[in-house]
Amino acid sequence: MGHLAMMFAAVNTGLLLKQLFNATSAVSLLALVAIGLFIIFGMMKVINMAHGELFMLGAYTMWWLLARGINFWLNLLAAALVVGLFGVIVERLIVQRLYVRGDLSTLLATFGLSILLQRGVAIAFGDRPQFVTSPFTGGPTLLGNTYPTYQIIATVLAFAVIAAVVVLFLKTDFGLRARATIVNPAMAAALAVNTVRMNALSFALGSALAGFAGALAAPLVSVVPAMGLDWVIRAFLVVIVAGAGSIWAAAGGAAIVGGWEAGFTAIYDATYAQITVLAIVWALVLLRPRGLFSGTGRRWRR
Amino acid sequence: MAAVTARQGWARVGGLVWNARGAALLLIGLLIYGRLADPFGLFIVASALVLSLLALSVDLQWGYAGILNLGPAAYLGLGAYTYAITQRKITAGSPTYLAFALAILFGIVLAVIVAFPAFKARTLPVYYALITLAVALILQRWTAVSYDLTGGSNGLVGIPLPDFSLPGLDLKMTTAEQFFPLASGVVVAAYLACLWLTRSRFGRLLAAIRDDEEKVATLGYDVATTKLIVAAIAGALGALAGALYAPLAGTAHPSLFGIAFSVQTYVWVAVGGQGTLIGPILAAIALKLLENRLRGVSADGYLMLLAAVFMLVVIFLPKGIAGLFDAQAVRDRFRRSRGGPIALAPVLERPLDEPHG
Amino acid sequence: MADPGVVLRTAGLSRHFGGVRAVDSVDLEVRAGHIHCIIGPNGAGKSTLFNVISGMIPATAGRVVFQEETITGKSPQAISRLGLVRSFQTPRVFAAMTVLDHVLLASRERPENGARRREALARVGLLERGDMLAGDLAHGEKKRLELAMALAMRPRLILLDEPTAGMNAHESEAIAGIVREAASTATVVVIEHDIDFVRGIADWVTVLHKGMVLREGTIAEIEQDQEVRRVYLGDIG
Ligand SMILES: Nc1ncnc2c1ncn2[C@@H]1O[C@H](COP(=O)(O)OP(=O)(O)OP(=O)(O)O)[C@@H](O)[C@H]1O
Ligand SMILES: [Mg+2]
Repeated sequence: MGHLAMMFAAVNTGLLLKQLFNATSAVSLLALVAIGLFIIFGMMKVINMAHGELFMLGAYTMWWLLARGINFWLNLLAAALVVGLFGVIVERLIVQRLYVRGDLSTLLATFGLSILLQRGVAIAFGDRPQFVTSPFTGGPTLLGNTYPTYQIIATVLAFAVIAAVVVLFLKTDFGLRARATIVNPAMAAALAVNTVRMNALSFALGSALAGFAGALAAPLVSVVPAMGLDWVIRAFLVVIVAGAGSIWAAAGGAAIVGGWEAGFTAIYDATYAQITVLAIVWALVLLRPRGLFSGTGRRWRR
Repeated sequence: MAAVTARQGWARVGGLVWNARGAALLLIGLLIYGRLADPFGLFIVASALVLSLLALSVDLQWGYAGILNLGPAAYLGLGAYTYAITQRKITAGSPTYLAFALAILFGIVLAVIVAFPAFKARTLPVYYALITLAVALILQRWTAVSYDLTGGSNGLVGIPLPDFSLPGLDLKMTTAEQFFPLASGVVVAAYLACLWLTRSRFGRLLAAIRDDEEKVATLGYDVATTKLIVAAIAGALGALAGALYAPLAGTAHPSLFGIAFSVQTYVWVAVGGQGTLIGPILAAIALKLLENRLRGVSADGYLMLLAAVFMLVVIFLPKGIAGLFDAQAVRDRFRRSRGGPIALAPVLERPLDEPHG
Repeated sequence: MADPGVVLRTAGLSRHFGGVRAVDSVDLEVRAGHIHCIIGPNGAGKSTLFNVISGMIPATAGRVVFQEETITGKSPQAISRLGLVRSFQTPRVFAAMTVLDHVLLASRERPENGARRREALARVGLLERGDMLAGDLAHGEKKRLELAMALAMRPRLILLDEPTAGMNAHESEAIAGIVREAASTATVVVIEHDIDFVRGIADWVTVLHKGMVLREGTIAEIEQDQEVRRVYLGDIG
């Protein structure tokens, strides 16, 4: 009897650990996407509904290049570059044009763009899932569960890139101006921050992060044209829950939204996981309309 | 000076009567079409009419209150499934009044639940657009996996036509052709109701909110409740569309919640002109007939086309194609670009205006 | 306990923006029936004070009492319904709505009986402009329309943020008349830079500087005050 209980406990700990790992991995990717979104939203107050499709384009860039025999790690960079560049084009052609109207046009236009991109990719490559093989197979085993090497590396890499973005924001001139713009656009303009250039840069950076995240996630998720929708919803939920105050908030929100969804999926079901996430966001918005991490005076602490 | 208000009042009534006459013309035209057209054409126009209720719901929100519900299809699906499930499982064989009533009730309840934090808690404006999109997506997934209730991804088939029989009065529909006058009547009635609403003091309040809601709040109005009311009305309209669509199509399917329906609705409203009410209805009929011509194009291709048209309209024609024919709108475009009823309402209301003084 | 003659009172009212103390521990008392002017150099925190009192931005600290009722934390519409209304420094009108419709919205009258809104329009001299779109009005007329909206609400207390900004002397004189007339039925707090205007209407003057109350008194006392002069001259020089 005692023996059985011990075995049971061991199995549970192993499972728990494995699920914790899965959740961490999901959160790291979500945080990457959400931070990209946060930069664009926070800096420009532009709601880019096509952000999920940028993620999707990153994944397809990875798949397409990989199928042509190009090195996986190079493709990660290529995806960031390609999607970042695409973001610049979108900013020039659409966002900048509508920015001055100051109404819902940008949201609507990027919503249209998201459908356009999604269906365009569907026409080009079909709706069936594309498989992206990761550069590693197998992985270490712990308490009876295998931890895929690639998933470990992807998680670490995601956190590393997040850290790099944080450093960029806290230690560089660009970051200083960006933070000023986020906290007080009028003030930043008065301090002679070149807003046009800042906007283009932040849009490029946000897009590149989405593209990179998509490429990084490609071996872990099913790559289909409609994959972006889930991610843009999650990422915006993160921003709503956390508040648009700081990068830390985006990371914290990702932990809540992504962590809950991954955990609930593991113990019950994916659809109900998403339903509960919506319910949680609904309740949190009622309790903290401005976001969990937007307590006054605690923004952008160095 | 009292004459000014009286005449103004008459001008407003005149505008409404004219529009009622326009609506009557539309109704007569539709009914004549109903006599002449082949069954397939009838089906196409009937579904355009039913779905144009959804377009009205979007127009009320986007065109008049300035709020974006990106998942209007959520209400379409909700209404359709409510009708289908009520008819098949609860009131099979008896009149359909309960099915319609429940659909509308659920539409209002869902709309209020979804919109409540958006407007009452004053969170980020993107919340409403996003949560509506998410709710539609989740409902689509949920219906696809809930086999017992919704038939899962196969959907529900064999949904009966409505039966409005009263004791001693047989009003049971037996053919799809009989559905057409019903759809026409409901749409024209809904159009007139929306017209009345947007021309009333409530409509003026909406126009003001859209322009500067902070200022409206300092005038003592409850902006949040006003928006919530609009969302609820829109929810009712959307669910009504669904409850009519299910018997027309004969099926209820998870794709009713899908993004294709939402995007299509937005295209109709954008092309027809947001804040015009009649524009989206006409656009729905025209584009639905056009879609039927484009049968050769793939569904993906068609959706892509819609998305492209939508983007172009949003970017270059903020008032829709209809805006091209509106002199005031054109003048406004040269002055300051702002869409919809703010510019349109005064034009429509002043056909009989007296000279100043 | 509380002085019945005081309509509006703030106690330790503060509003900070990050490190900027826009309003810093302001104690203000506005007496019933007075025209109470608030003056101070640019950036003194005058508009922010109005924003906090009218509930448009939350206070960092302190409280606002209006007619014996604490209104800190109340929503703008709730405060407005209590009879405390305001105008804005840069006029906020609904560009595509007619002038008449503005006052209609403010007065909540039915369109048929327009006594209140016609009265309000007449008081600011915009009666002939009734059918014009507000967006087509001249700047001074927009400011007067804002005033008409405030009057049409039959308020107990009106906060006017620079009602004469951008007007010539002649127009300012007309506004002074309107404000004086409004004061017969309500208490009025006016932010103004134009010292001639203030001299013509003020029963009491508060000088705000760097978010704090620098001086209070009659206009004669204020004009004599060395400190006030220094602040204003320092501001210019
Ligand atoms: N929303 C805001 N965010 C950050 N700082 C603000 C904000 N509003 C006002 N301030 C700052 O608060 C201070 C006071 O501004 P306020 O507009 O109240 O001055 P004012 O006395 O009305 O000036 P003016 O005579 O120019 O109208 C200024 O330093 C201003 O920059
Ligand atoms: Mg000011």
